[in-house]
Amino acid sequence: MKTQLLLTCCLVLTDWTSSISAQIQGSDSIALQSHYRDLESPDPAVRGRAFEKLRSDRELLNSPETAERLLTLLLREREDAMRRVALGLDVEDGLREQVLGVAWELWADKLDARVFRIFATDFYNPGSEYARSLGAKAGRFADVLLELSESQDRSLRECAAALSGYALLEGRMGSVPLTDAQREKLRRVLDAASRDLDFGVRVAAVQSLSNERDEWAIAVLEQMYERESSLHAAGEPQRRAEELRSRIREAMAAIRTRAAMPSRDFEALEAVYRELGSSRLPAKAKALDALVKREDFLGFIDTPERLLRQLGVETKALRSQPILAQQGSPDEAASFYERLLMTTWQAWKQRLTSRSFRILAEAVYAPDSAFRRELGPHVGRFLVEVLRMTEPENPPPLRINGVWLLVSAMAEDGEGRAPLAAERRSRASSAVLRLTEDKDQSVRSSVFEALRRLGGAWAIPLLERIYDREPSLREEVESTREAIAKRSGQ
Amino acid sequence: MMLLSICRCRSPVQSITVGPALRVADNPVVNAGSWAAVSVQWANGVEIHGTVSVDPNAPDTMETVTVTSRGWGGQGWMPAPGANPTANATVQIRSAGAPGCRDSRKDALIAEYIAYGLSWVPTCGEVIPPIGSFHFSAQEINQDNDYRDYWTITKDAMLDGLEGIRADSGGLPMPVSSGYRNPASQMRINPSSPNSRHTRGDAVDIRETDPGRRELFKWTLGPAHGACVEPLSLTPTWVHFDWRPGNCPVGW
Repeated sequence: MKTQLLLTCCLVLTDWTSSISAQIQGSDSIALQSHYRDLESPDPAVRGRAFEKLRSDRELLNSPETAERLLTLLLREREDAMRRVALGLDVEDGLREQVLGVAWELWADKLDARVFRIFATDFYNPGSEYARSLGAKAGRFADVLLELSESQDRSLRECAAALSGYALLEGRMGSVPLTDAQREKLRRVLDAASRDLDFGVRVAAVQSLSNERDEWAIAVLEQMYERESSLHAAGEPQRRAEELRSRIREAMAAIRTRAAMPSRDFEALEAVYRELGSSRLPAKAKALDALVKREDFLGFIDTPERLLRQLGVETKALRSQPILAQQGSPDEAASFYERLLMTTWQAWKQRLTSRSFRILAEAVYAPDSAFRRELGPHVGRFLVEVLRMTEPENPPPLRINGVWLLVSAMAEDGEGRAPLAAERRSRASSAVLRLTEDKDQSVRSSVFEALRRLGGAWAIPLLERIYDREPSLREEVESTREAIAKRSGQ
Repeated sequence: MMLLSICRCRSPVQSITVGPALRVADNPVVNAGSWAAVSVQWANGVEIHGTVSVDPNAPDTMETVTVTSRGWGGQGWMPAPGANPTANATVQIRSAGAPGCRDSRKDALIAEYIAYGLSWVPTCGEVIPPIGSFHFSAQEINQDNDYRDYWTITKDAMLDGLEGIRADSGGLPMPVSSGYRNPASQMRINPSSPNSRHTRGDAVDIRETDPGRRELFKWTLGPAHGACVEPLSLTPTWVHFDWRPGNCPVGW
């Protein structure tokens, strides 16, 4: 029986590899080998071009050898970066980051300890999305994390602490269950990090512990809190020690809030979070219903962040692949997205930050929708985020959202509801002027459409400036002026 | 920078058909108003860049371009010894784009983006006189800008973000170690990253070695003020922030 199973597996595997090989034949195969050779070139430009060629061709990217080749390239780029850093040189935003992203996509679902170690020891911020997704899969590699936690390199110890925290969180959520032994090892990493002499490693430990619910985390944090005073006495600046103590207090409060919720409810809530993050539309819709129905769930400490992250994920999927993103009927998908958007908005509107405003403002919604109108009065506070949305590097739908929000802010200001400082008002109108010359017709039209719908007397001088700057826009300017006059009853 | 001389060019050059002695890089030329940039690759692979002033009034004509290297050896960009230092190529000239920014320095700055083959080229409106904010002077933001006395690119998002971070970190000074870099300056500082956000006017490096503030910038203040923060293990004595549209690089 075992032999038969093995044979079937081999046949399936052979079939799969030969179907891939069949796809990459003849000249494609020669090209592939040539790209692989170029990935090893001493010239970074040649390596960069070869990488681009592979990245832009799905078939080449999925060929069995490419993943391993990219891992080798990643290691090479990392060595180059380390050499430059050792010389005090800038390495910002080079080929390494791009290779890291693509290699991670290829390897995320087939990690082993060797590959995990390569990804875990790269350069990244412990709070980044990359660290979160790597950490979510780190439970199986608790031994590697334990080893990294004993490294001489402080940044490796810091990343080990952060990844252990994400792994424990994922384990608790049940999406990547942990064995007792794995959980114990991950806790040992955090315990060691809480006693580390490096400030950054201790900060990472607190961040990780703040996601916990158990008594053991409170105990670790309490000891840490006490130790911070002795570290201050040993020479760490008081300001830094006080800052960490304040983070520890916040972390303990968060853990106690979770612990205070009855276990059955807490588990039910975590199941709701898990379903909300799943890939099946009916499960997601049901999870959202469950959140909205229970006030204690909706108002729970972790819910706003969960909603915001999910909104970010859904928006990204919707903008990149609008058809694939709709697993159910288009109506069901649209209804789920709209409810998610409004629920997230309700959870955040009293506590908006730059980040939450940006994720909400960049969501998919009709320019003249109720949601956009709700955002309007808050735009002035986050004008910079809106100005960023209008940058030419963004896709037109995002720039159009930006146009409507900018004009909303100007309307709120012009009608005295949410006044803008003079300098912000001037930036907003400069951006509107710039957008009348946008390379995309739909963006240019949206400026006039937004002014027609939202403009008042305040918009007339702006229209005059648009005309002075570009007399060929006379017709649009005139029709907008008439629409504003008509709407204002003049 | 004027390494090339080009004869009888009358319009921004958009595509080039190469002659036997020259090989022209994949994407050698993009117009920039009254300036055109040319990037030529010699047979030995050495690439040289240059900008030339052209008249944008003769579209769809064929011209002969003569490229002459200045001499032999010593500067890295020369063709191989023994190769002919002067070569001709047939160039098809097509008119394209706007007629320049009516300021030769601004045109020259924009032409640098083309000459170095950057993936983004600013428009005339995006190149502005140097500006700063209350706590961050135009002078410090433009210390690595060769055009610092005349033109720069500075994004509002960066100035606002910096002020926000400074206010929330207790109002302590945040010395800028590098801000906007024109492409030539970027190539001197970090040639491996020609498309750095420093060339787009939304990036700044802050000199900072205090572990407490570095952690604060990374975990809290950078993200709270919408900044992408480069992994601190790559920036031992500074912190790189940028306010790019869209997503941050992987791991930031």
